[in-house]
Amino acid sequence: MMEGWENMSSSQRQDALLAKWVSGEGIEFADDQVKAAYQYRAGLIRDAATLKNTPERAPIVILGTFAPTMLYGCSAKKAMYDPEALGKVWVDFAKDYDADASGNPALVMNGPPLEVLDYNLYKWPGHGLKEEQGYQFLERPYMKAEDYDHFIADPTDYWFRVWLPRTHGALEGLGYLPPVYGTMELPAAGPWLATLGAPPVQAALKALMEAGAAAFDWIGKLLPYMGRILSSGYPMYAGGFAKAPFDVLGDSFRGTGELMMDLYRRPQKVLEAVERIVPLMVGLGSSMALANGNPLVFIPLHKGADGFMSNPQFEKFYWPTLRKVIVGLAEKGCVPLCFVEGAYNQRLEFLADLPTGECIFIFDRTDMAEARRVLGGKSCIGGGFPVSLIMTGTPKDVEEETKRLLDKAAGDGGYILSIGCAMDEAREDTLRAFIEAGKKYGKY
Amino acid sequence: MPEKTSNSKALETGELAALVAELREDEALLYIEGRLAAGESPAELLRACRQGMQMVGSMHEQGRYYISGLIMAGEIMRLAVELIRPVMVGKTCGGNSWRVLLGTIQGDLHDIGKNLFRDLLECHGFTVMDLGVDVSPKDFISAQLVFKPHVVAASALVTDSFPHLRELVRLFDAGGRPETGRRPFILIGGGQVDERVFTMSGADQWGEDAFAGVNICRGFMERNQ
Repeated sequence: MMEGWENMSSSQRQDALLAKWVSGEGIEFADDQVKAAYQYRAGLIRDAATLKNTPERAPIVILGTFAPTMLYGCSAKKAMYDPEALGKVWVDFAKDYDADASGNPALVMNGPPLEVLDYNLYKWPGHGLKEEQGYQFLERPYMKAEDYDHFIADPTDYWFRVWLPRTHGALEGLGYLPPVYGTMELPAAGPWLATLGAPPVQAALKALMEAGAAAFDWIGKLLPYMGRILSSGYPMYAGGFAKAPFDVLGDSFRGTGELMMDLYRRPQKVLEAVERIVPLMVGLGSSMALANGNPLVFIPLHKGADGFMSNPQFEKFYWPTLRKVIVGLAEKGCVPLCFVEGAYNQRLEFLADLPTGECIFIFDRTDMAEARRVLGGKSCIGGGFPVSLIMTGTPKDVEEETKRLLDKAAGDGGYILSIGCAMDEAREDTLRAFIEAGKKYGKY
Repeated sequence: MPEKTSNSKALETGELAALVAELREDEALLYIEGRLAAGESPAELLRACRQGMQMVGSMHEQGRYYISGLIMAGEIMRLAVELIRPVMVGKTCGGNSWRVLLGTIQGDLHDIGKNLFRDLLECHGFTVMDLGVDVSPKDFISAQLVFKPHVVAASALVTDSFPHLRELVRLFDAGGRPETGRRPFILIGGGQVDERVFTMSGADQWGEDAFAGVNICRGFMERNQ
């Protein structure tokens, strides 16, 4: 804990953690020049995010999951099964393309532990998808309507004893466990401990041990490459991960269709459930970010986009708890980086209702001139470049569109140049043209 | 709560359609049960439900209803048909004769928009064959030989499925339809589909969302009646 932390405002805490992040403290740089380059790049992002200084130019951040590996001919399957190949490609991508920040290759995850757990929430390359394809989410109503009360009473207990067995085939045995609370007193500890010995529970625990060992081996191989990305002068654009509570409930638990009907059938339960998720997301995002020494917390936004619900529904069901997560993370000194998928043209006024300069919004299909008009001077904005142009355009098209986008969105600071998509593939010529155009036209 | 035994006049005045359009699920279903018990014509009840769905569609176009309301309306319609269908055995369901072959294109497992589109099409009386997700262009071709669709609709959210959209159009262009010499109308849509992807694919039209897609299908039907 930093000196005076207790008495700092959210903004002061963010400044303190960002200053530490920008300094590159703890990173072993090859020389002072590389260190200065790191500080310059991270500084561009810090200045864009906090709105306190105009950066020398708009920082360029490429959101990508499998795009870096695909660009180097490394299949998505290899990326998920060979951490050294994955790490090498990400180091090369950061250095060759020379954007201002790298993603975190650990978000690509690793196939073997998922196989051990019989992980059903996604399909991934070589496991239901072709080797060249990035992973895809399998949205299902894993949580039933009648489960709301259990979830609301104790989300973690529900998560552990009901949701995990439904989404991880090898963890079915956890469903046999009684609640852990009997452990508080010796006479009541017996049932819990005895159940731990039951064969299905033992099988689940063994699977967890095996998956954990595989994941530990994976991260041990990947970490040196993550260190090399940083020591080559490239900060990472995400230190932690969180989600909007409504999206947690909609994506991973109820599924879109069921949750949208819940808004009409059991609205009070939805409100209670999303409220319970707020502290879980603040805790998740901040703990990861603080452990990584990087205060940026990546928050992909899904089901609040234009079209999914009306503004009154957004105001009632989606925004209040997302706002609490954003404010809660900022109070811990983290900087929420919301990746706003779809369009938010009808929601911009809501986003404007936040403390100045404490949150970043990277947009996908939102009208960027409107985003600038409504959020300019209030929050850092970013994105807005169409991925379809990267995939189908010429370098010249890309250069012209980048210039147009900067003209309407970059303002006098507070803008991050980005493509509105976490890309699973890209083209070398257009992606390079995008980054070069950003450096050429993005200067203030 | 409507009277379970209200007479047919209520249907004429659009009471059931209004219940469906206002998403009053329990009341709409109770109303249908009551009217069926009273011997009301199931075809009339279905017609009233469809009228309600069209009101939902209008309200969506006016920006008063969103996906949440459309999903709820689709569910009410589904439950209504479940109640009505058993007493309609052997009778027509009153739909049109237009057929739409639907699927999420190869390489993509996303189906929220596709399923909503399917439900809306059925509400508007189209006959839909839903091939599911991750459907190869060749499978679309195989299915069309049996189903003989007027419209082929493919959805795509992930970028690496875009080439398969182009392949889909290419195969249909090459294959045509033996009996007419003309291929079906090809419509694409989905999260990352835009004007550029549409141009690249060679499809006949693209839709921004499920309702736009339904309007395109209705427009196509009206032009080709």
